[in-house]
This record gives sequence, structure tokens and C-alpha cells, in this order.
Amino acid sequence: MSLTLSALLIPFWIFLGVFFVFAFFDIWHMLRYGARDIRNFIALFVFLAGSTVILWAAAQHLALVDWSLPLINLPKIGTMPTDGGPMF
Amino acid sequence: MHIKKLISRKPYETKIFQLRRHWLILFKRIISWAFLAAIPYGVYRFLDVNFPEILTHHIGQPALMMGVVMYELAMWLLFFTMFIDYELDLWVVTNDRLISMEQHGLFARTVSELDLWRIQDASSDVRGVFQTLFEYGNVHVQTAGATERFVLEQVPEPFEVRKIILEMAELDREFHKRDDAEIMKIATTA
Repeated sequence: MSLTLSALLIPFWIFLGVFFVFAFFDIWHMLRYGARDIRNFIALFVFLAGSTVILWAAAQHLALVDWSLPLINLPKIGTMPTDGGPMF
Repeated sequence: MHIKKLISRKPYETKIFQLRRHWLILFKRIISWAFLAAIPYGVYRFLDVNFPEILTHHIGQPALMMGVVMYELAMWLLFFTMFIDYELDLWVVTNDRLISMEQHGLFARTVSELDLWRIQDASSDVRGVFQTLFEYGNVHVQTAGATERFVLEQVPEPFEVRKIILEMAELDREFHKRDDAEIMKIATTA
């Protein structure tokens, strides 16, 4: 039995969720309380464009990884010693 | 600015000026941020020279890549939050009031206002090399009460701002005196 590399994606997805929540609040603040001028429009555009570029580059690189490779090899339950002797 | 959502404008009120922190404050933060954002590149160079096998390892390589992506996304979010924090700190002086709007992080915001006629004293201070060279500093506005009500932080040309605020306060006091005199006149004739 083995844990595959895809397990590394769990904290990554959790992080992305937190990132989107905070990004939403930032954008909400800017739209609600910020001036509706060209400066803030550019700032918002730069933020969204930058986030998109980082996420796109990440997706491109992570797509090349073979996520089915084993991360940790765990002993099979059936092969565990039952006589009370040492497991490893 | 959505001031209307925060403060209702009086019919006779006109905006004299509005202030934000000096641009150098944002610039200094951006410089610090740029150094922090470049850390993964430094780590990559270090690993490339000392532990190149990690960069090609079947676990190390994707783990590092995800770490870098998470770090850079966090830094990018920090950059935008920093800009918003700078952008949403605002002081507005009208012919009637001094309004302060300050953003504290993402989820805290303070809006307060002060009638100009209540201002008794205003002082400004410029401290340090940067503040002296780039002409920015704090303006402290004192009302009749014992506690200091307003501090306009790191604003450009604090001495000029102090002067204008005191002039506007004097004008507002004159206006209120005239108003009070007219009320008294109406009351005595009635």
C-alpha cells in the first residue's frame, strides 16, 4: 500500500481556497471603499493579471508531474506480523 | 471614493482637500516586499549549488514547486493588501469638518469626523532623515477636550496642512459666531 504524490495536492488546494477568500475580500474592499479611478482600476487589473499568470504557470508545471508515484510506502495489513514479534 | 456610503454630505459642504500618506511610505513597503518575494529565487540558487539532487528528485521537485507557488501567491496577496491599506487611509478636509477614514488590515476600518470650529490647536512634526528630505510627517489636531482626537499620519507637507486646517477652523468659527448672532437677533426681535 502506498500514499501517492497526489497527497501533496491536499494542502495546496486548501491554500488556494484561503487565497481566493482573501483575494475576494481585498477586491470587495477596493470596490466598496476605494475610489473608482484609473489608478485603482489599474491596481485591480494588475492583481488579477498577476494572480492569473502565477496560477497558469503553476498549472503548466504541475501538469508535468506524475502524481501516481509513491510518496511513502506503507506495509500491507496482511503482511503485518501477528505473533507479537517486531513489525519491521 | 464611496464617502457617501460612510458619511452624508451636508448641503453647504465643499471639499477643500484630501490627503493620503506620502507615496514614499508605499514605496518603502514595496521595496521590503520585493526582497521577501525574491527569497524563493535565492533558495533555488542555494539548492542548485549545494543540493542539486533535490531539484530533480521525484518528491522534492513537485513539493518545492508547490511551496514556491504558495509562497508567491501569498506574497502577491500581501502586495495587493498593502496597496489597499495605503489607498484606503484617507483624510478629507471640508469647509465644515475633518474626516478620517483608516483601514486597519482586511477586516477593520475606522471612520471619524471632527467639526472644524472645535479645533483649538494643531501641531505638525517631521522626524528623521526621510521625513525631512521628502517633506512628510504627522499633523496632530487638538480639540477642546483633553484627549487628542486626530492624527493625520505621514502626510505630505505637514506644516502647510496644519496652517490650512487652522485657517479653515478660524473661518468656521467666524461662520458659527455669525450664525449664533443671527439666532440671537431673531430670538430678541420675536
